Order: sequence, then C-alpha cells, then structure tokens
Amino acid sequence: MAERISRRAVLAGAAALALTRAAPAAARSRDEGAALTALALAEQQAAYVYRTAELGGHERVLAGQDAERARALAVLLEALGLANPEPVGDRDGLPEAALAVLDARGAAGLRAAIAYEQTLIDACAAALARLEEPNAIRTVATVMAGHAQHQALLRQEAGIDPLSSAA
Amino acid sequence: MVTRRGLLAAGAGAGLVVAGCGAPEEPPPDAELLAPSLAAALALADAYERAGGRIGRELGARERGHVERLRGAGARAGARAPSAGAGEPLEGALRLEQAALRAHVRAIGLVRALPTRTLLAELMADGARHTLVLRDKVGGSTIPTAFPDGRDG
Repeated sequence: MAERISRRAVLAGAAALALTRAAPAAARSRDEGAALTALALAEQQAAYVYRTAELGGHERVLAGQDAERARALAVLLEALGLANPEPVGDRDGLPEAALAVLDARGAAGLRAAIAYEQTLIDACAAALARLEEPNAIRTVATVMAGHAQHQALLRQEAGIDPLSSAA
Repeated sequence: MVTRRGLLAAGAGAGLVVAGCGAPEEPPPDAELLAPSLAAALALADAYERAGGRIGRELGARERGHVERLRGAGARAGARAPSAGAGEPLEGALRLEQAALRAHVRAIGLVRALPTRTLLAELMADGARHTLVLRDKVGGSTIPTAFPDGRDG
C-alpha cells in the first residue's frame, strides 16, 4: 500500500530542498563579499601608506590610484548590499609590509614598497578564486594588474630591472 | 568621488558580456574565449622579434612564454590577430599590448576553469608591466594607470 504523505510534509520537504539549493549560492555570495571587503580595505590602506610615506618618487600618484581602486571595489560591495570598510586614517591595523614602507627611507623604502606591492598582488590573486561575478572578476584582475604596474615603476625608481622578480 | 574610469572598470563586465559573447548565461567554451588572447600573444611575439634589440629580445621571450601557457590551457588557434598599425615597432607593440589586455579582460570574467582564470590574471599583470616599460621607451609617460585594462591610453 502506498504510504500517505501529508500536504504539510510535502511543503516542508520542498522548503528544505529550496534551502539546500540556496545555501551554497548564499555561501558563495558571502565569500565573494568577504573577499571584496578585504580587498577594498587593502586598497584603502595602500592609499594611506602612499599618502604618508616618503619615498622620493611617485608615491602620491600611487596613493591616488589606490584610492580610485578602493572606490571601484566599493561600487561592487554596494551592488552586493555590503558596507564599505571604514576609512583608514592611521597606522592601526596596517599589515607588517605596509608598516615597513612607512618606517623605511630612501632605497630601503623603495625595496619595502616593492615587497608591499607583491603582497597586494598576492591578495588579488587569492581573491580571484573566491569570486563568481564576471564584473567582480574583471575588476579585481585589473586591480591586480595595476599593482604589478606599480611594482614595476617602484623597481625602476630603485634602479632595478622593472621586469625582474627581484625585490 | 568615483571617477569615470573607476566606474568603467567596475562596470566593465556587464557591457562586455552583452556586447561580446551573446547570451550571458552560456558563454563559449574556454578554448574559444582564449583564442583572441593567443592571437594577440602571437602578434606580440612577432612584433618584438621585428623590433629587435635588448627590449625586443626580452619582451619577445616573455611573449613566447605567454603563447606556450595559452596553448597549454587549450586556447584555440586561428582567431583574428590585432593590428600593430603603422609607425615605430615599439609603438606598434604598445598598441598590441593594449589589445592583448582587452582580450584577457574580456575572457577572464567568462572562463570556467579556475587555473585558466589565474593564467589570464597573470598575463594581465605581465602585460601591465610591459606597457609601463614600453611607454618609457617610446617617450611617453612612465606614470602607471589605476586600471590597466587596455583602454587606458
């Protein structure tokens, strides 16, 4: 004899199935949001570092471009309904590589900045694996390329081959 | 304030999907998406060989490496190569680098395989470095751009 299934049980089963299917998508979206939030903060920090550092080169240009990238990432966060990270106005919470740029001078400062740019490139590369939206993927890849270009400029200013991998 | 460039970078995806790839829900296979990147890398390798000199040799070797990596990722051959245009060889190479960046940007949002996405991001980073060096050599600006996507002049 066929087992009787109540309407309530069918509805509950359908709801559970819908939730099961929605959960991975929601988790992916959360992960994408977390990745973009971390990158937006990193760009704000980079803008602060180059606004403040004394490297004797194009650091203020780099600061402006990093701020522009932070704003582009903020647009993506807004589309996900997420808040932009709080503005960075002091050294609190800066990563070690960023503090090294602020604390060094002259050639040592440039070397620290080259290493700092590598951490920003690596952060973008790691974030790319967590993104789903084509728009976000393209923006983050372009930000990563921008940091590669910053690093090449800093190498040039330090008298190092801009295409080398030396710090 | 968000600049026009920032908004363009942030909004690049949607327009490219609509304009370049037909139905956004079903992009072409990765091999097809990579084909313009391969054509651009081949054109660049040729351009650097013609340019010669230290920079031609160095960047040519790097481009041949890009070609091998794209072939290794399954890129289809035979896509239409971008044009270097008239003028000095390195100026032509700069135009090709920009075309390659545009091809990579278009593909990276659509490819399915994660290693292919990583490859394209690395090629974009390398292309951005190349454009900085070329701008220096052809007497233009060495100032980097916020969003080196091939549309940045």
